[in-house]
Amino acid sequence: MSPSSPEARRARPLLGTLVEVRIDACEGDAEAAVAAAFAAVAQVQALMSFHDLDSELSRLNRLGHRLPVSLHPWTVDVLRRAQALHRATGGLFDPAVAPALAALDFLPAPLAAAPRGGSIADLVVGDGVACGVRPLWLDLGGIAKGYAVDRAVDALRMRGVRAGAVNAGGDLRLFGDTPQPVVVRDPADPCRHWSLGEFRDIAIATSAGYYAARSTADGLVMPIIDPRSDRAVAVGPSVTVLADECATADALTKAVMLSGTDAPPAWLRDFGAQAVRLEGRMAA
Amino acid sequence: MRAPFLVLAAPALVLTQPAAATVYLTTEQAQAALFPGQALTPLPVTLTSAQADAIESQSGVDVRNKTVQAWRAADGGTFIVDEVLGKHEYITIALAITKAGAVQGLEILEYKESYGHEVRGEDWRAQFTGKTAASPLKLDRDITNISGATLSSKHVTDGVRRLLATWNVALKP
Repeated sequence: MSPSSPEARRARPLLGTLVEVRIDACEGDAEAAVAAAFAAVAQVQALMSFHDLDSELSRLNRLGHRLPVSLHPWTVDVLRRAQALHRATGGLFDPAVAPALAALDFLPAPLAAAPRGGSIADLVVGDGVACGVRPLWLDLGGIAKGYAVDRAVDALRMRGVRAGAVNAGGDLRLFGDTPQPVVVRDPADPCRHWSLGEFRDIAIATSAGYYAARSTADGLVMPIIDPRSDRAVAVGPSVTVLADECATADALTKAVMLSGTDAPPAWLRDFGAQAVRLEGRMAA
Repeated sequence: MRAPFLVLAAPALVLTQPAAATVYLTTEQAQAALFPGQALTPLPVTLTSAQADAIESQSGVDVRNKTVQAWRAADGGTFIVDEVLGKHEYITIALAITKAGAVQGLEILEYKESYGHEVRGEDWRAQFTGKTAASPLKLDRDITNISGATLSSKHVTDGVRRLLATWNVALKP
């Protein structure tokens, strides 16, 4: 059971959603720890936002095919993780789908002419620097939210927080000795919840269309693009991934969504992850 | 807990009741956090129709409530509490604005889902009672850890823009 009265529980609008930081047990200054956690999330946003034309990611998208762009260690870390996830999932996770997201108005188009083709494998990532072998629009929205949660948890722990949680609009991480209940929204009716069980020291992320659907010629779609077809996924199911780190869980929800329903993808095991797929037709 | 598996439907899962509201801070706690050590004086304002129109044209956001809950700090700063209505949620926010009109801080006071047991009828709730009672989760327990697709914070951002315009039109010191 989670404690009935946390030492601190705050929410701020960051990463385009509401980010909640909760401290259940702390040996230091809880208020300072909360501030450090939000500062870490804000830094990830400032570095990796696709919407912010001044972010490092936007600079990389504009200039990366012409010259090496110097990057913060966190941005390099996320790009390397994204490349590893791209390889491991057979290309199903690919941040280079931003042109397709922009074409559907899920993202703003930063330049008139969007690059065609290409994947995150076309990016060369070095220490503190990256460049593309071709023009790319990368959107890290599918991994950076989870990464921000991980960095916020680091910030809390460094300031003496022994137990707590960070939840970025539904992508969450728990830590501490006491197992806590976690529920997942029902994709057919998101105010209903299904209990996943009780967990400690775990990251859990979910992708679904119930808050982000767009009407297109292909029907209602969500902001997940299949890199094989460049088409958006139809609204319906939700996919929840449980992993050690939230960046991994966040990214894998998209890959599992695209992997079909016949059998669990073998690469889940490589990440020590589990997935739960809820079909969207259980309406009451 | 480490063996991979994939659940394709939901037979192993347990349905729980909708979450109640989450209160993060009271108005007094937010005042102390955003204007530490300062006395705040209530500054009750009711917007005229002309002021509401000016706020709408400056911010591009509808003014639903002409009563403004505002306070003035000793340093000339302004503290406003306001409710933001999203498609799926009510959010109460507290905004601190400096004497010069810049955002000094923002706190979420309360988050409440706008649908669920408040909007749904008794019939809808009744069908879950049995399942919920059988679950290890207690009915009255606060659901604190909800995983789900990301809810946009666009309405909060719009609300901040509207309150900055409100300050500009009606609350400038």
